[in-house]
Amino acid sequence: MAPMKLLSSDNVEIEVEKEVAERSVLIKNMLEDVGDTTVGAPIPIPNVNEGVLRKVIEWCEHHRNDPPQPADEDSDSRKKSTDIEEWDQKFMQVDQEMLFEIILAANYLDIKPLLDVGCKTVANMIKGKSPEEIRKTFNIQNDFTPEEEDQIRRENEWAEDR
Amino acid sequence: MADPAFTPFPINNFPHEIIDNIIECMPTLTLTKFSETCKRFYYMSLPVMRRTFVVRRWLLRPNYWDWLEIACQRNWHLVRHLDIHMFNRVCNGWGSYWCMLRVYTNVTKVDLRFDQDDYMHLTFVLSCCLHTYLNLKTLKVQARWRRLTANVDKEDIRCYTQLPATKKSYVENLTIVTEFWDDETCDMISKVFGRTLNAIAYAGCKKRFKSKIQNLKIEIIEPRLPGAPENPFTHPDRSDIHNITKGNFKRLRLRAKKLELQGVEKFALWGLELFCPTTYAQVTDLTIKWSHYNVNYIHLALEKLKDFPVLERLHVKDESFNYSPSIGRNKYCFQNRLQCSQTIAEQNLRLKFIGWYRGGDLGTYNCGDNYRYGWNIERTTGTNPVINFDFPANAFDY
Repeated sequence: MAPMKLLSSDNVEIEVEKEVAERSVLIKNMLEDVGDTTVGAPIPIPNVNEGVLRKVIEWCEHHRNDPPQPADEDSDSRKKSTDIEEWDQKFMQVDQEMLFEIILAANYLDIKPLLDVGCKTVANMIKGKSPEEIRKTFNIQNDFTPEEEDQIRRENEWAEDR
Repeated sequence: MADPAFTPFPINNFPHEIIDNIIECMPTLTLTKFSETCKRFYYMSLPVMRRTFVVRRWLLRPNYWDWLEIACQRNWHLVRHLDIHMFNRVCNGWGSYWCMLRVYTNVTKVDLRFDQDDYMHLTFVLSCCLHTYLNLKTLKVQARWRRLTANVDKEDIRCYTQLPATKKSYVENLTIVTEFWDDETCDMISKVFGRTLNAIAYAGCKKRFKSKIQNLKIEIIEPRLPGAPENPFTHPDRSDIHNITKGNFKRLRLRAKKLELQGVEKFALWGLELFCPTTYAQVTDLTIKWSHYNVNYIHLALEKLKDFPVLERLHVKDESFNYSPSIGRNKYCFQNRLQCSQTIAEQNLRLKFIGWYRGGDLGTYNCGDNYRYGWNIERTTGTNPVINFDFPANAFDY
């Protein structure tokens, strides 16, 4: 498979197979627009630094043969936060800053399955926590008045699993 | 208050669309907790929460009025996903209101999870779903059923017999997860999903037939519950039933004229549907016998008549004497009668009662009698096949 180069935001060239790079819809579209770049200049990825880009490429390498994602936005696999493959779970065992960067990179590079895995990981971090614990984990300022808080709790009561 | 010394995951720095994506990934309960953290996340969560409604056990007890009150407060036109947990006996009344509301036109996904061994109205539930959720695409049913037919009543029958055939095509995904899979379950589902009957049979029988099934997933969870009936698809005497049927068909094509299916149960009838109707073009005699307890198979036999254009004699013999008291025999028989009548009418058949007679092998039949009776059924147009039915006494008497 033909190699090509990506240029990270900190000016590091990273060689990657075209097939792997094309897991990114952004890069795929770019390649279609500019034609064959296998011997040309590296494609700049200005929003992603070397460390994160290598991590994203690692994910793309592993998932290079995955079938295209179903078009159905409501599909179960996209909805269930617990539904993360074992390899992906391990892949996402990184510090929070890196997780944050991977999600942003996946969003920028338009790699929907990776974005989903990242979002599911965050959703799992929230799962089982009380609102106060969630605030603490994510440094969220509580801007509800006590009355508003009461009202919202009542509104949400139907979902309680008692 | 948040601790400024703590360096948390910077969720507030995420673009709006990423937060939306995270929200989409959250289970409902998690989402409600998330929405209670701050105004921004409350308003962002609201559209998703409005698309989903979870009905939990506590909402259904002590009575369903609690649930109904909450349900009525919903803006149902917004709801897309209905997730019903652990509803059990309360569904008797619940179902009626479910039907009456008739507002779920935008619901595309329904999850039903039963957590009891109680008798369930599967047919009723499915019928309601198909009646009510006009845009239903995904229906997932998880249960621990023992007998599905026990509570079938007139209302259920009315519900599913009125079900327009076109409705059946609405469900694109049907998942049924059950700890065992018996023929009654198949039978109940078949009444709602029509030709899915075959698919279910083969999903259980042979993996290779699964390729014929689109968007149907059957999970058979082992081990079975203690005392549950054996899985007909793994039972050594039945697992290869479609091959038996296939064998008969080979003989039928070669020798023509006569087909006898003996000692097979309704799977043989399902097997009949596998083959092109032209296969039966020469059959003048068909005998189907079974010894299982389900008289309800008769209507399936009747439905086959249209595939036998020159059939002169159909002998359908039900040697049932193994009624389970838990089945709710009378109601079940009523259902059978209704279906038979429908089928007979559809096929221009005239039913002629030919009288009662005594049989001697219905010892365990719990009516205290051992009568049998027979029918002649004549086609009112075309040829006049003579069709004899042997039923247990009172099979249609409730």
